[in-house]
Amino acid sequence: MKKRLPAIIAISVLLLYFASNYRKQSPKTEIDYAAFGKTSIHLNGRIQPLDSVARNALLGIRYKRTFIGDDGKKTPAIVWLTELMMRPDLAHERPVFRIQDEDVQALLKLPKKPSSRSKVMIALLGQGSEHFYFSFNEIGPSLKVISEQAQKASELEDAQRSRFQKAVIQLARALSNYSALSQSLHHGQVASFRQELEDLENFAPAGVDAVNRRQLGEEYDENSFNQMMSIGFLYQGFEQSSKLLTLPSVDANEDINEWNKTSTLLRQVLQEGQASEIVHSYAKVVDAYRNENATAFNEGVRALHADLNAVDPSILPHAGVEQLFNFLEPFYIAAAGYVMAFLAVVLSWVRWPKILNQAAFGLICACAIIHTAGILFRIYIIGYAPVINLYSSAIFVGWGAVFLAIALEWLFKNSIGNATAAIIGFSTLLVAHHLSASGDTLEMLRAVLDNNFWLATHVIIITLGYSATFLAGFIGFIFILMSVFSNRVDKKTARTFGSMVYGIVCFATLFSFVGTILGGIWADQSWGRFWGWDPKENGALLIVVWNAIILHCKWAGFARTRGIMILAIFGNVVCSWSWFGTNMLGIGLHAYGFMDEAFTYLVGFMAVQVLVMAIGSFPTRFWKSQIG
Amino acid sequence: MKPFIKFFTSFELAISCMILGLILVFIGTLDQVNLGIHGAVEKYFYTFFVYWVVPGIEITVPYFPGGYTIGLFLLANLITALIFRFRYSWKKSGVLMVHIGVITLLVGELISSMMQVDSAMIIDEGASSNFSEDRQITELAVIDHGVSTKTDRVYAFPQEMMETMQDCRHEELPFKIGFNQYMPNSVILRRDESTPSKALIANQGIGLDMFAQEIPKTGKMDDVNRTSAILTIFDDSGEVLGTWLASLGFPPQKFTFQGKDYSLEIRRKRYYYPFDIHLNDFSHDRYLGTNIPVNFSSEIELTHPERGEKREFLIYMNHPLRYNGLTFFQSGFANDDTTTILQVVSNPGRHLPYLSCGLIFVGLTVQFLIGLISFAGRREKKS
Repeated sequence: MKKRLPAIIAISVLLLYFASNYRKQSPKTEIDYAAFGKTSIHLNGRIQPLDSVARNALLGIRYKRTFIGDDGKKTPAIVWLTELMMRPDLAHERPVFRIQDEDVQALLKLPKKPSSRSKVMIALLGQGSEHFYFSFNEIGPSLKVISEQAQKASELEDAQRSRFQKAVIQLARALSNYSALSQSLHHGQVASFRQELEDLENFAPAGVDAVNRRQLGEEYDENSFNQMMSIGFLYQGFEQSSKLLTLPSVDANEDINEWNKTSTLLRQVLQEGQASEIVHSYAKVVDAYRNENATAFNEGVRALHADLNAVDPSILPHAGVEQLFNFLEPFYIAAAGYVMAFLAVVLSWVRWPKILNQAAFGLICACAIIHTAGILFRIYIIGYAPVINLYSSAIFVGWGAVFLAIALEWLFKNSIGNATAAIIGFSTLLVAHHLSASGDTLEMLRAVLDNNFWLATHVIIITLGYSATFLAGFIGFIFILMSVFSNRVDKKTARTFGSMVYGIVCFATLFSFVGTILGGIWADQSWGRFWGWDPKENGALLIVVWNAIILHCKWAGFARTRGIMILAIFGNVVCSWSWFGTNMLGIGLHAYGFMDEAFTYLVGFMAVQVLVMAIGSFPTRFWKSQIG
Repeated sequence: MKPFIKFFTSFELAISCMILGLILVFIGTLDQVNLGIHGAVEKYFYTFFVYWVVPGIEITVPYFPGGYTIGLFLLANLITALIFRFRYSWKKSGVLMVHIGVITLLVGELISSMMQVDSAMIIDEGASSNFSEDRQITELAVIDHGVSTKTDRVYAFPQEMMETMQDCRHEELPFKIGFNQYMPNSVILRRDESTPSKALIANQGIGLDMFAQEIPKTGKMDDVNRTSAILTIFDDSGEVLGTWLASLGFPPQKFTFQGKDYSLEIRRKRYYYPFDIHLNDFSHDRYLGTNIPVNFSSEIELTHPERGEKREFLIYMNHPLRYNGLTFFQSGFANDDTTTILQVVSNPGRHLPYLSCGLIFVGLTVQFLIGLISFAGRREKKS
């Protein structure tokens, strides 16, 4: 027990943080936002809770999943979305549009805003870290200019757009998404949704009658007819501007066969004389919010959920799981845990090596479990194998590397496994976090990729190959820095490092080779060709060849411990190019989007690797450690 | 002999080939941005040398070994090393399998690079087709409309004849065709005062209103090389009948010779099959409320009259039709989802990668396990 104490304490700290983060997810208000956030709707081809809609939408607008509420504190996105959908007039005052580009800011012709960061933070993080937020009402007068500029920019190919043009397109997208959401539950032209429904249901028979008579050429009530026309006009606009599919409908077999926008309530009323229960419940919720009646709001949400349950009892629980996943933020917690573990490892090199290393190992194991849980959540929610896009590949590469590193630590108990697990775990989750800014990461798969068998074999195996290549590279990285700048590495440690890297490179060769060939077989199965020299295929080939080069250099005796380490570090360069660089080329079947900002980081990462390789190439007599 | 064997079996050669291959694949991939995948493959991979055209003086200088050179040296290295240097033992059985796997992989890719043919079959709903069209190669077709009321006879002259500007003649054709100009890629422009005089020689058909201006070839996926040629038709006595501008995408241009109707066109090279494919229905499903495709599928009916075969088949994503050594897979659609585009691939080497995959997988796993067991053994001894 005593031996395990450091690990237990460290894990408890992490769990405490986990719990406090979870509690922050549901605001302490009379309105039960958490319950409303669970409401299932259909967007981007899948059923999801409003909580996810809110987070992803706000991420696309404010680049964060939270906003600053009236109390000046970070507030969950669902609070903002609720306001936007029900009281857009209030939401339009909130400065949620983050506009970084100075030229785009100039388009708005507004007085310069004070920075949201203090001078100290700006000095620390650089000028680019200043954030400027604008409200919809501030942007409103410039909407026309923005859409003109965006229109002009979108006529160009992505690669030819200037920074300003990209920023303006991004802003235009954010604005269109924003206004679509603001009209997704109600068009907002009348104050009371319930009253409107009642009036509509009362009026429908007369209106339909007038229209029918006019079509038949009979005498009709002109007043009713005109009213009908203006309602039709209003709802046509509502239909076009809304985005969410809120109303599930059931066919004869009691399966949900369709989801419709709220605007289809007009059709329901005209055809059946009344709107569905779900529409009435939504109306209750909207009116209660507008009247600031929390009790009625919560009751309305309960009624709404009962109605959704009546249509299909499986949709709410499924959305509930996704909401729980949002609340738990497993990847965020795991990332925080990896940082803690890294600090513990670094400290352990200075003091209390045993205790701190045990603490780090405990933390990393706990993080690995949380990391795994996050991946399982995603698999359950979307029903695909874990790697479906670049975002999830980042998460999975980290996951694979962490487990391999845990195995190394288990075998060698020399803190290197801990250090690499913490570094790779954190950095891949950080990369994933930045990739997630593009929106919903639980996206539906395009037809070409929609195949769980190959996703589960080729993609997983090749991603594990990436994991192992990075792991070998980072061990090499640590080895070079440690032995050049400290005297902690002796002959024996160097040999241990050598066999760690050798083992991992063998593993990497196995997985990247088999994964690449399986990819070829998938291509042959689907497209009748084994190899098409597509950038992503070539990237995979490069990793295989590089790992094979390392192995052959070792067998031929061309490279010994130091040489293998330097070669392994170059594996990081090859692997990062194959992983991200090929996507930046933007051609071929595998290209999923050009990421220019990422390009700078990629080049920076590669430059650091090459620098460490250069340091490692210095004659060993200049090194602080004598590795013999 | 000995120095040869020493050279070909050496680790140095293996590693050099791999490093050169790495560099080649890397620059070849980067250049895909400029040349497109097909262009880059031709320039870097399916060639013995990578050439640099010295600007201005049009001399080509080889500056890097191409995919074939590197691949063949690697192949020679692998084979000789297995014969002369490899020490056969159970402990190395995995390594042996992996290397045999790599050999079959290289051979397979060599075969595909030389023999794989890609073409597209385009069928409208309710219609049939018995041919596919090459994506890259064109041909000059002369169509004789006077054979019977029901059928035409087509004489197709391959692209090489246009490239080398050879006269096209056929014993059953009463005339011959000579080329004045051949353009692998071009843009079609309307004739006006600024039209170069070279283009004005066309005096028949579309060439009276339009002219073609040569532009560099493209290898990009979505771009088309619009092949054009100016050609003159002579009768047997050498008398000129007229000069035409033919271009990929032009409709067939009609002319009359000795009272018979003919037409000519440059079209994509066609591959005819002894069977017919009829498209019953094409569907394109999207995820609800989005434009993301869930599935494309073509319901087809295949008829092979000689074999008396007739069967229905659904071609959809990841589920191609394999028939007669050909693979038909869903590659696109057109005309508001009423036309399907099937990619037709014939690749005689397509089975080799399966063999190599098996060998490499088993070999690597065996070797990895052997290594792991001996590592565990050593650790046990130590402790």
